[in-house]
Amino acid sequence: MMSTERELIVWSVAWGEYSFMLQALVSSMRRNGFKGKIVTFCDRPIKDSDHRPIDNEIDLDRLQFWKFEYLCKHMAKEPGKDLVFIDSDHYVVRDVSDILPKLLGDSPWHSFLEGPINTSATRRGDWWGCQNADFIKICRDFGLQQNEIRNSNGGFWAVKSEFAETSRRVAREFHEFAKKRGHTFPEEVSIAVLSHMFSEDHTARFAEKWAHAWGSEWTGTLQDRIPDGTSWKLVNYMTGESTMINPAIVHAMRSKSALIAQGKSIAGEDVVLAQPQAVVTPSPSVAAAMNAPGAPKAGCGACARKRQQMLEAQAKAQLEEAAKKSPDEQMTSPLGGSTEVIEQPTGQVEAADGAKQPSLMEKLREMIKR
Amino acid sequence: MKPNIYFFQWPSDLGGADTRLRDLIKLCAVDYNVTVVPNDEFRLGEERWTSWMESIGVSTATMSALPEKLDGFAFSCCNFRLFSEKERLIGIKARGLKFIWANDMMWHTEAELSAIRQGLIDVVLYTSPFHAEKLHADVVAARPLQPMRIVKNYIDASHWPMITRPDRQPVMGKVSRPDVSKFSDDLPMLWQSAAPLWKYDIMGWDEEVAKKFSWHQFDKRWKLRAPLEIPVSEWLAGVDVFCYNGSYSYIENQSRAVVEAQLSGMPVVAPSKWNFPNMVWNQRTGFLVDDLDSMRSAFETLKNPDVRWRMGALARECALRIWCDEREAKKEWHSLIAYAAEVR
Repeated sequence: MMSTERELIVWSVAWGEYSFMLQALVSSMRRNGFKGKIVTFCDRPIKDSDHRPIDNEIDLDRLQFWKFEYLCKHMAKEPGKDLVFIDSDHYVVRDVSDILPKLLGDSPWHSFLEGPINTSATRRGDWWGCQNADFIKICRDFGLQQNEIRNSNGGFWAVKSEFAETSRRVAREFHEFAKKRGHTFPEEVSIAVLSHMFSEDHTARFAEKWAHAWGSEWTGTLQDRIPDGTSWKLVNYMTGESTMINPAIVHAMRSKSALIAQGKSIAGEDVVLAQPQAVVTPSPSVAAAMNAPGAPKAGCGACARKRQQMLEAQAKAQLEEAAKKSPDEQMTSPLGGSTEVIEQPTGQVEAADGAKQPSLMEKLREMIKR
Repeated sequence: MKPNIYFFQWPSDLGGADTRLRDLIKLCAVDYNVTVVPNDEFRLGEERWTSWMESIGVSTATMSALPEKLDGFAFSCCNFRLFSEKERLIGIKARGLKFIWANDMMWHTEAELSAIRQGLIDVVLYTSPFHAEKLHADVVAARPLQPMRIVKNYIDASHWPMITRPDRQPVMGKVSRPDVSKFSDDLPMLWQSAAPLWKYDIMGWDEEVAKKFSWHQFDKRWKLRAPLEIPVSEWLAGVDVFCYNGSYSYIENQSRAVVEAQLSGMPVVAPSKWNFPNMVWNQRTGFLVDDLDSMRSAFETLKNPDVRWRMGALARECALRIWCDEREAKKEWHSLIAYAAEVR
């Protein structure tokens, strides 16, 4: 489709403590050999990136459609760019220079399509609180023709700059369309819709085909540890099936305190270890949680964290469910909720493949020495 | 003495409502005194239409030139300016005409519903039970005893002869008025995904539509033509399968373009929803598709020119019977006019 040479730009937005995670992400990319352009919008300078200030005119809405606003207002002003958005809770363990240019292929849009919502392998009954059958109906009525519909993660996607306005419009339109049917979804649901609609072959975006490139660690396998390039257990969000993967880009959403600490050390700030990631909100239904009293107000750094907590509550619940079963039994029905705090691991911990992993402190000391 | 019908609209070769009017004018010209009243005076300078109407005994006039008192019926389909520029509708009613209104779309405007509420429309006309089912609830809410009728679309088959198409790399296409809602956002990806080895020919591509798809680089498989860039009959000759496509926000009622394609001997691939199951005989005159897999399967089958010819021939035969029966259409119109005459 696009035959001319295109410029690849990685970009992200972060504020508050997430800015330290972004620093850790950027440094991990550079350390592993990525020399391309990285643009960061952040409330503090990010080393080794093209740093720009937070745009206070963009409403940091809790459903995270602000990503599309940044995209259109700041990143996609010129044609010929392939723009890769990475949320700050990612970490790179190998060089991604060869991976990122391949994401889009001939399509204008990419996100990894993770788990099937409408196949016999599907075990989870809903996505963002919307029952699977209802979700599929919404998708069909919106015009999705693909037989297998999958969920996606809003933290990592790519877009051709020429498509930015269309992606924003269609994402918003889907959001409004679903809202009229009684479902208020965050941006990642629209992101999944885009990946179906705007791929000539949407199966090319199936996450299992990119296991070397990206994976979302949401169940706590790497709890509060920095990914180190060894394999870890991925649990499919919709099917509960688990596989060992070792992707170059880890969506390390359970490693926040470690990422913050590493980012602070790189930034030259005092490393005060963050508290373990506490799960304070039960989340039997994320939609219900989103609408719960005390939901965060737009424009504050707590928004993303709140959402993260909701996701974590779900992850925690799934882990608990899995823990109730025998170790050999495959996780098949990740449902439920909990209010317990997940404790930070201490000392050496055992990786999923049985190898002894260095603790967080050991890892940090090692990194600071480098 | 023949009853008088005043059509408050102007015919065209483009768009469902205006082509419908073109065929209606001809259908009614023999049994009624027909006068066509355009919204804008400049239309009366369009030689192509005025001379055609004159040749079949149809008069034309501006609204202001009409006498203050008239006897007969006013008809309009989809001319929403009658409501937004209210003096037009008031002018119709003040002259004593019975007003028959056909909203061929699948939605109402507030001005239209307001006119219904005020009793300014004598008969609301639908083109199918599906159409009535979708629209009539709002009409009843506005005026509970609103008289209504269902009269199906009539299409003059003489415009659409059977076309014999050569064996070639198959071409799928659609013809439409240039309206962005008539094109789904994913159209290029969808067609390339459903039938990658086909060619694609679309007529109805204007600047706005082009802007909608500016993100896509259309390769040599695509022919994107301006509205009426060539006569529709010529366009039909260059296409092998009509593929309906539209945005999620647009519900199709009774696509005339589909029937015109069928009359030319072309199979149609359309969604298995809305009114299409009444227009396409699945696997006999085309395919009703639910998803990408069924779409792929349809185009795989239609690769075969013999299948296309067989389905296309049957599509024409069915279309002729359903939509082009002049005698039946006249009967329906006489019945409609008789009904409107009795409405108080």
